[in-house]
Amino acid sequence: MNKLISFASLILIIVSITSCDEEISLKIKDSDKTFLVVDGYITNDTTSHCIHLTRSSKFFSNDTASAVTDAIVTLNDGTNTITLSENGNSGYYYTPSDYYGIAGRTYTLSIEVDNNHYEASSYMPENGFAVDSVNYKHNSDTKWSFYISGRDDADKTSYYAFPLLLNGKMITAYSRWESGDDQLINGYYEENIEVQYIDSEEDMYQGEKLSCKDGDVITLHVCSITKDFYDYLYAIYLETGEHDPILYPQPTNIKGNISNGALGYFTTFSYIKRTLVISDTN
Amino acid sequence: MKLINILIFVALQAITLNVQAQTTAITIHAEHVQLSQVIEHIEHQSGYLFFYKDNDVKNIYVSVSADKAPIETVLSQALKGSNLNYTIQGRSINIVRKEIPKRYTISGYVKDASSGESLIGATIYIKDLNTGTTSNAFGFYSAELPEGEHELQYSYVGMKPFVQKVKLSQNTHTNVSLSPNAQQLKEVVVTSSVKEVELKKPDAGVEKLSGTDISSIPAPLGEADISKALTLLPGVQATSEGSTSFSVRGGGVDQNLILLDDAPVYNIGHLLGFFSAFNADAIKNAELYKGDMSAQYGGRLSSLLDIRMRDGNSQRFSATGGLGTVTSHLMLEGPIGTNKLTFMLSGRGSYPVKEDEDDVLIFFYDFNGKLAWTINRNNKLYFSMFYGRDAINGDFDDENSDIKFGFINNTQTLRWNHIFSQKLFSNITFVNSDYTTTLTQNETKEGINSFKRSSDLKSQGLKDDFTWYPNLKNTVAFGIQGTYYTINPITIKAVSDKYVISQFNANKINALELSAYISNTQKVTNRLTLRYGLRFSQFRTLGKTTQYYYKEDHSFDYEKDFGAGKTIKSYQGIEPRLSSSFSINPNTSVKASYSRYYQYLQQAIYSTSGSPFDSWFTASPTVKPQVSDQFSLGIFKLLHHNAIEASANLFYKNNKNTIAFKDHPQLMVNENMEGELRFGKSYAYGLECQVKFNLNRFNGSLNYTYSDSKYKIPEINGGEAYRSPLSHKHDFSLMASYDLSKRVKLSANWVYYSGMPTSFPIARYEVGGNLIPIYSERRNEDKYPDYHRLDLSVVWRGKERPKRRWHGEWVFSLYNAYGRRNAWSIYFDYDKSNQRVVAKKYYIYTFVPSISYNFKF
Repeated sequence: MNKLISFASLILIIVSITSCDEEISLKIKDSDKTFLVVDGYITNDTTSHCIHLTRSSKFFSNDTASAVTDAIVTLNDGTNTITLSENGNSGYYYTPSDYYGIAGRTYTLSIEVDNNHYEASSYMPENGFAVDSVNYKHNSDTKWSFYISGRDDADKTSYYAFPLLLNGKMITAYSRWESGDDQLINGYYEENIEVQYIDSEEDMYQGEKLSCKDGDVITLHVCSITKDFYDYLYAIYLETGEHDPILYPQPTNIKGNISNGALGYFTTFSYIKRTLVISDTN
Repeated sequence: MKLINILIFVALQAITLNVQAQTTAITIHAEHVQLSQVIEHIEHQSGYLFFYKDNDVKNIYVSVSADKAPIETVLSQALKGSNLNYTIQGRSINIVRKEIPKRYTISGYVKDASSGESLIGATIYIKDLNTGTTSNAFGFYSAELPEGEHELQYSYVGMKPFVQKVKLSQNTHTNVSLSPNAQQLKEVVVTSSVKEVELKKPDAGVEKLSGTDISSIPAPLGEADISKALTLLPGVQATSEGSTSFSVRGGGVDQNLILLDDAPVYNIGHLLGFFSAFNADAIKNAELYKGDMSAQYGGRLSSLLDIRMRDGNSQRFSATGGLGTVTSHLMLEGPIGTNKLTFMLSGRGSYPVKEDEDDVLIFFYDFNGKLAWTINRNNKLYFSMFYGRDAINGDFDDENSDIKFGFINNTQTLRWNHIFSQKLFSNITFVNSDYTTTLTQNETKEGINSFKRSSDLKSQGLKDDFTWYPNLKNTVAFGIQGTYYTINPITIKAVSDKYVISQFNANKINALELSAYISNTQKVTNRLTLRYGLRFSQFRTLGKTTQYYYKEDHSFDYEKDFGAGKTIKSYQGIEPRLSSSFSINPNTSVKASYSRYYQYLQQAIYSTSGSPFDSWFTASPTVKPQVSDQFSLGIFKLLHHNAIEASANLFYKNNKNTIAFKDHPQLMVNENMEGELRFGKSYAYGLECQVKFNLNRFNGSLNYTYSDSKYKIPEINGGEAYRSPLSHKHDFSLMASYDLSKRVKLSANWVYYSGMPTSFPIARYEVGGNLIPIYSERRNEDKYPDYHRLDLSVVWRGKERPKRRWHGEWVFSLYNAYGRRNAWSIYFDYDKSNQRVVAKKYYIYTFVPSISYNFKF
């Protein structure tokens, strides 16, 4: 599924023999404009779904993105419209906790802020993969791999992504959602597809190296995403990568799906949640 | 005004006086009158007696008008344009047919005396006529000369010129062998004529390199590399450090036609391009045409790199080899039985690199081979082959995966030279070229990720090329060519039946490219030489395959099956080629050219330098052939007794149907690759300056290029023109070598070019836990830091001993001597421990010392 991994590893093998990397100081032209940034998704899970509104910031800024508060955020599922409520002045806007998305519907998110109107729509695909089981393997001192077994729906062209939670906390950013399509597995029952990993040498979370220990609870989301979001994840993978001249295209802005010049992405997907507990015996 | 009048008056006076001084003055006015009548009239007036054959003057009508003119003037006027001549003896005048001087052809091969290798592009200068010709790609030359004595000078760079006096009284076949300049230090400053003949040739954008030139340029890790040698030349730009791919005059890396003994080579690098696919031992000669290609060549927009392999030593068995830091190489050559049949076999292999306790194994190797058989004076047969392979195997326990990569180049060429007559040379070529990449993942490990990905491009071509040498003023080349392509863009299948994955097959592409051309190189006057030609090319994609069609918005529309041999889509075009050279004086020429090229086959490259995985695809119902119109104008000058050659050359090219990929294209496993393409225009212009010097012990060149190339694609960058990442505005290089003694040679190169155009972020935003850069709306307005480096090398030759055949030399080289950390890539990272965004760069080489030992016996 990680199509690029093989190619990237070839580069790494060859380049690692002679190459080095180092920090440089780079003069850039800061933009004096800021943009509204929309980040969030609605899923088929029954929960309080969240849309985060922020503003873009200076590239080398050390601050976290500033929240956009007091916006009117509404969600339409084709028939009904609900209003999301902000949690204090956090920029996080939530649906009611009993809200769930229904596959096959198209959701439209509308945002009113500072007298401007922004909108984004997303279709919610059905689950395309019937998950049988998940398991993991502690491959080396630093690396844990996670596998799924199950059947891909033969009638659908599906796109997948596999966010990972450690003890209930999301630890994968979009660039590590490990998206893929079903071109190679369409209609088959597959055992042990490697879909995620934790590498304590490179993965960090909140300034701490990520690592698994006995008793840790891993939650894997097997998400059926839209083609457009799949392309968006791939663009993020490319733009947050190392831009070597062999594999990466020229740096280019990523196109989101929000109207009126806002940035970011609003998406919807169905997913199946599976958990497992890390234990020494494995 | 006054002055001129006076001058005319004086001149008229002089003429009148002159006429009056003649004894016999004739007055005659005749308009289209029988010559015999005119003669009668003159006889009557002058008293001269005429002798002639009736048959000679029969039916010849002349016009003549004279008032008291001398008889010579009248006769000259009367006989002008006829095939008659007159002589005056006493009071009698003989009128006879003009003797047409007989012309004979001298032809043959020019060879290297020590090895018997034919010399490509050797100059044959005919001193008494102050003109010359050049040997062709097989060392053959032909010149039609008037009967009589001529002095011919045969010369070739690095060889002692050979002067031959020929008394031509019949057609003559002469093979000439030139000996190398034995005196390493006293380089004969080749007497003017050779370079002056070169200067008159209408080919402005040609760069020539010999195998020795390529080997003697310092290269990273001491590995001779033709691409890296080429990127030092004006108008040729490196794409990124450590890559064999190169850009000519702002063109794409897939716009270079690279031929090894006429076989197209589709991957010119080993190990992702860090090393060249071509073994310098096997190379006799390489010519790079930076545009301004003759009509004989086509199919690519930017350049032709024509590499010719050695034929094999016909004089004796010999071996060349070396031990380097990365590879060892050995070349054997010699006659088989007689000197009519020769072989050359060369091999090169890298030392296997093992990393991480045998987990990773990397190596590459290649073979070049050639057989040359001189059947008789008029027939020669050549067979050449090239096989190169990379093997990269990794077994990553921590990833629970293993990976095997394979890149295979495989070409064969069969050529038959046939001399129909001394004036008509023909060469029939059959080529087969095959490029395959494979990637096998998890051959031994379990799981879905075990698959084999392969892609290949096969091409078979047949061509018949003729050169006709009607006379010294004209050389006509014509021929026909056909190439059949079979492309399998990507196939992915399960490694074994144990693991099921559905097979992925991108649709096969079959295509036929046909072309015909004719071209003449004409010495119009002693100053003006023209080369004009036309090439007609036609390209069609054929079944059996399934063709995908796309809508206006590039989304998949429908598919259609085509039976075997059925034409899916065809394109054709006429490509005019015109180039000229005008010599202002023997040391100065102005050269101008216009040419048009069509390109039907291209590579899906979306990164700057490309990778060997990038698949090839052809023109199709969706993809129109790329077309380029190119202009160049330059001045070329010889200075300091021709020891210094200086040139400045302007170029402009305008391309239609330029192909670009949309932003963030999905290409790895994509059946609808053509849906990721966008089309538009592109253009490039520049100025190339070069000063080459050849001063006794001190040789080298200074090169500077100013250039820019831009794309304008309606759906990219908001339709605004943007700079190509290959557009280094300023590109400077200095190459110098100095012979310290007979045994020690020092070389240095210094390279400086503007950094690669790119876009740096102007802001950022946060989505899905990632920091996403925002770039300026205008693409590629920033640039990487400028690139520069210095390379040094010392060649230390062993002592020459008269009776010893073994010649050895040590080469010590230092690449990037002052260790500049040139950015290979610039990227941004989130320094999680300090919670800040940082800019980082990758650099490949700091200073790289290397030692190699080369030998020859």
